[in-house]
Amino acid sequence: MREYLVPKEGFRVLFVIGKGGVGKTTTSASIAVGLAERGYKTLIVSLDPAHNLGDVLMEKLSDKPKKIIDNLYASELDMEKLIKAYLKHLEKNLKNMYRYLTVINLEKYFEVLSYSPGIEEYATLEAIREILGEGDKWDVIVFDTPPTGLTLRVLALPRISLIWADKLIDIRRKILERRRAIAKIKGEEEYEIDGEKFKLPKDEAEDPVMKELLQYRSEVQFVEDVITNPNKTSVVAVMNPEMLPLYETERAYESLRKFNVPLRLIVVNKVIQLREEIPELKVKMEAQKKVLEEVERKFRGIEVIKLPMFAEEPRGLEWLKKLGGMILEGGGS
Amino acid sequence: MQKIKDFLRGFGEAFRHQSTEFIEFELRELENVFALILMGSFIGIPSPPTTLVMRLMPHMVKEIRVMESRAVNLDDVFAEVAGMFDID
Repeated sequence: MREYLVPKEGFRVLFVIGKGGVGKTTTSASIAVGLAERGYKTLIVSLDPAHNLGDVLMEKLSDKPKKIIDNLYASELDMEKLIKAYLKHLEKNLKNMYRYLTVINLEKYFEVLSYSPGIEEYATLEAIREILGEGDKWDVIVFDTPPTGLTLRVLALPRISLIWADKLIDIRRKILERRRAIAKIKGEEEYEIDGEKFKLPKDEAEDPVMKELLQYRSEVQFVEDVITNPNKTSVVAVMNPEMLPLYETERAYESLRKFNVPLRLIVVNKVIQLREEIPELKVKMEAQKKVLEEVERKFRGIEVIKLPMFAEEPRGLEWLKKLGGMILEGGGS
Repeated sequence: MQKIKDFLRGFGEAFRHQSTEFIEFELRELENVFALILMGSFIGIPSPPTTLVMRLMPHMVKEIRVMESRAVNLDDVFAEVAGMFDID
């Protein structure tokens, strides 16, 4: 059994990434079914807006984990709903505090916000964070991710968010330091606006902004710690034996390395195996051979498994069990 | 006697004011920078993670109101800076 696919230090997180249409969902479902069969309590979550996890498992799924077989639970996150809920929550929060700003017409602003760049990534990260927060309920969590681009950005987000949080904490600390210094010399300053008297916080412990910053930082740090810990997280890249998926996998490999997220396994899916030569497929077979050689050469140190192209589309539990066995135990090269 | 006391108090006050003048200026600028970064998306500079901004904004209400009132009372920034560095 491949040790990086099973729990080692607490729960195990698996991200299955790859170009659209290479078989991410099938691969992740197979891994999940295989793990469940071997006695690990497994949750498989689809983050892909183009949901087809349900189609592969032949079950109707929602955002609540649904039991599929013993030890296997599956859910599909509805990103659109998530973003809406996320914005609704923020809007309510803000409206209460900035009541006097109603002139600006916050609603309109929030309508626009749901289309703002990056919102999908943030909502996805938030969803991942929530699931990881309750990670101890499971032995293994398998994420079936959206196509590579979005996933990579999401995996890079914790690191970037930490930089932002640190910078802001830094400035905030300086502000509070100065407020304290002034208060020491001149006494505390009292402000009066619209007849309401108040003081501004000057200690870290009483400053809600600082508290929120530190809270946010620790939340993000938690995600970052999980996804960069090779004893907890493994990324499985799925590709087809073609040039374009190869390039994309290569790029993914580079950026994952930059963000310290451990890529452990490459699954080359839909490899055509012929018993006898077919002249019409000769060119295709040669191209495939070339890509397979490239894979061996370029991803040294990462395990590569080849899965054959099956005559029948691998759907349903029996197929998934068979494929899961191949990914978890056999087929290495 | 009382007059001497008042005089000395005024003296002390002036000293205190002088000694905090720079810190106060720095504080105001830092506060402005902090708020500006949070609302960067309004003026087109890259802003921190939306989640973080949205979580901080509710706590910034009072501060932003103070800054607002300062902006209303502020008429000549250059004169202020010049005064601080004793430029006449």
